[in-house]
Amino acid sequence: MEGVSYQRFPKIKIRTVRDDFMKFELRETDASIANALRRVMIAEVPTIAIDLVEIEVNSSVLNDEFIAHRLGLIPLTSERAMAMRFSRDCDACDGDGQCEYCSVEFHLRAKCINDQTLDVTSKDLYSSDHTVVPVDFPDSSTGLDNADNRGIIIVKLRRGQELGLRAIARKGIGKDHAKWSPAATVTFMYEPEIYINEELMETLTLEEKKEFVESSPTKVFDINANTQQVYIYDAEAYTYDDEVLKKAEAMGKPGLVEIHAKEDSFIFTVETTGAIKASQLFLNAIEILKQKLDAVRLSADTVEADEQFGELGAHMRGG
Amino acid sequence: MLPRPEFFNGQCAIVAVNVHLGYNQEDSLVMNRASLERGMFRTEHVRSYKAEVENPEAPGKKQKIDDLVSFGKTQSKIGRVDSLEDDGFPYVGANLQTGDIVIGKHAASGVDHSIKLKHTERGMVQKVVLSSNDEGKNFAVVSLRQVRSPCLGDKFSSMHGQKGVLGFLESQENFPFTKQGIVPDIVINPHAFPSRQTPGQLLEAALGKGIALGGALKYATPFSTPSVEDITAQLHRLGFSRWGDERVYDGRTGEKVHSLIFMGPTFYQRLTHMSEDKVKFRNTGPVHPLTRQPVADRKRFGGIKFGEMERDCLIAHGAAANLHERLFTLSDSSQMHICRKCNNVANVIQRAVLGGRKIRGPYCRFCESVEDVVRVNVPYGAKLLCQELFSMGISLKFDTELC
Ligand SMILES: [Zn+2]
Ligand SMILES: [Zn+2]
Repeated sequence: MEGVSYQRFPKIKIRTVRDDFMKFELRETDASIANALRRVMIAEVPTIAIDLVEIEVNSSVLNDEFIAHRLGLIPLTSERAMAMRFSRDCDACDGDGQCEYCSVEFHLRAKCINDQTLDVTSKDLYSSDHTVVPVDFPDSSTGLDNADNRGIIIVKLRRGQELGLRAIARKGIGKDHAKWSPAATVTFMYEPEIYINEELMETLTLEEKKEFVESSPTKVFDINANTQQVYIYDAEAYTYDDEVLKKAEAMGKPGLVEIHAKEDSFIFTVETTGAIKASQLFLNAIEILKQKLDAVRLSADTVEADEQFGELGAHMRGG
Repeated sequence: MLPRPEFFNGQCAIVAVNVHLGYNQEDSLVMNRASLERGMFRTEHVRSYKAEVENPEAPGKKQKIDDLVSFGKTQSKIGRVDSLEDDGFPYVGANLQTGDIVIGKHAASGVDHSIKLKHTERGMVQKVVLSSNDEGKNFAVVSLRQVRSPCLGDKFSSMHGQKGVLGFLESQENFPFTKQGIVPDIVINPHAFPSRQTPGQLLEAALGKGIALGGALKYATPFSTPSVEDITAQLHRLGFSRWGDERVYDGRTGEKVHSLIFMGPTFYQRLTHMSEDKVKFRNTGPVHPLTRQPVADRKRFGGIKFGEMERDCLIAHGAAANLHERLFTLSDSSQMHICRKCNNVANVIQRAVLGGRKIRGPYCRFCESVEDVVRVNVPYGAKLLCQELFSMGISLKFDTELC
């Protein structure tokens, strides 16, 4: 058992990156790592969200709790979150959660004074810190500030109604409340490996081939118009729904195609709420996963842990 | 605005038919905590409290000044008055807890007539109304509001009578997810279907899934439902498995789940049966004045019934001491006296003895003696029965044994 190494060198190939979207391949690792990253991205990468609301005046149609809940769900730009302190272990304010190291203050004041309905949106929130603002504030890089971009609506006011409040935003993670989750969608699939049994395929008529190709709800196979051969159009479109396998079976041609999931190759799709960039979300997830492993390693640095962790303990100490 | 032929009062949740760690057995369901935190199935409950006082300016009978009751804040002995303003009403937005006074009301003599929240009630003040009615009375109504997020034990139902209670709140990352990253809001148990014959729910989910992707409204009454072929063809066209199944990955391990899971949007409603309104617990508390057994009412901090079936269980287990404790010691334990000479009840009375002294103790009126009177432990209910029968001219006799 000594000397056995489980060390691997996973590789990443990025396919698409936009601010709030990323698609990449993760190879040469296994489901545990892929899934750990997914789980950390959803539940453990910190962001900043409104956590405490003091309502000064509210004569709107929505009650105080409702508005507080809506405010909490507004994504705030959270590049600073990783470096920020959790209020619960902030020394500067004794866990009061109101100091500059662990919180950001917001103010909102709106009153409808004419007969037109007033929309109170995330743009009416004034932040005490210009780095932490609601996500669809006009980004200086795009210069986008037109009438279409009205922000996230909080409440609508009619003539005479008023809303005034103070809100404290704090650092948190998705595990504590979904409002702190930076992930809109984080998912992966196993890369499929598809083999067509050409010999068996040629026993099919063109009609049967068409039927076979169309049996897949997603466009995985297609027919070459010239050679009338079935070819793999897009392997990754396959959802492992088994429809084509069932079709082959029904046609009396089991083994017409063989589909395997590559156990060490994953295609990730990551979409964020806008709180942090998709690329940053992934990097932060790795960072947090490392911190968690360090915590295990530290606790494993004792003789007792040797027995407790066994092979895993030896591995963690680089054995 | 969308044309809305009717107002709906539920939500279309993404429902998966699957087992989830055994937390959706026996018609319970598992819900996604993240969905609830994002506001799914949150409801607002309003309850109002009304109080009346005589209008002092009203014409007609005049009362004594001391008996005149009016609204106002006084230091009350029955509950907290911290949230009340001087007029006796809480301010709008006040957070009232169990035991707080909702409406302060007292007589000029100082007698307290305030209305207190029962131990099951609490909420935020939504509105305070002060008005008068035709009978010359001033009245006040205070409305309390409560926002409730679903919690364990709350009841939900689909439109097919498939009702169930919430068995577990699971985190988003632990649910199975699809290639598209879709995670269910609710997981129901497949055993809910075979004997109940509600394929309508499956059709609803499959049709709803197609509609969610296609956007065209369809009627789904029993008379105009699109055929199963239409539904399956629609799903196939939109890139989903014909029968609504999907390949999912285990949220805990990331491995592919062996079987395909049926998933689709289903209209679910929250029912008014909520665990918060039903939780009952007590150690000691109020007893019924007649029977001296614990009261049953939850509002009055009553006890939990230990009924026949439960009794049968303890008997079957041979747990006699436990049974005795439940049904006697912790219920209506009492004592009575029996005269062993005539086997009648010897009541405790006060009587004169020689020397003009008066003493109090058990005394047999049949034998006119205090000799050989024993004390027995007996449920107060039995003692009561004995007394009631005695009042009708029937005397019970008790055989006793010393131990
Ligand atoms: Zn602080
Ligand atoms: Zn006697």
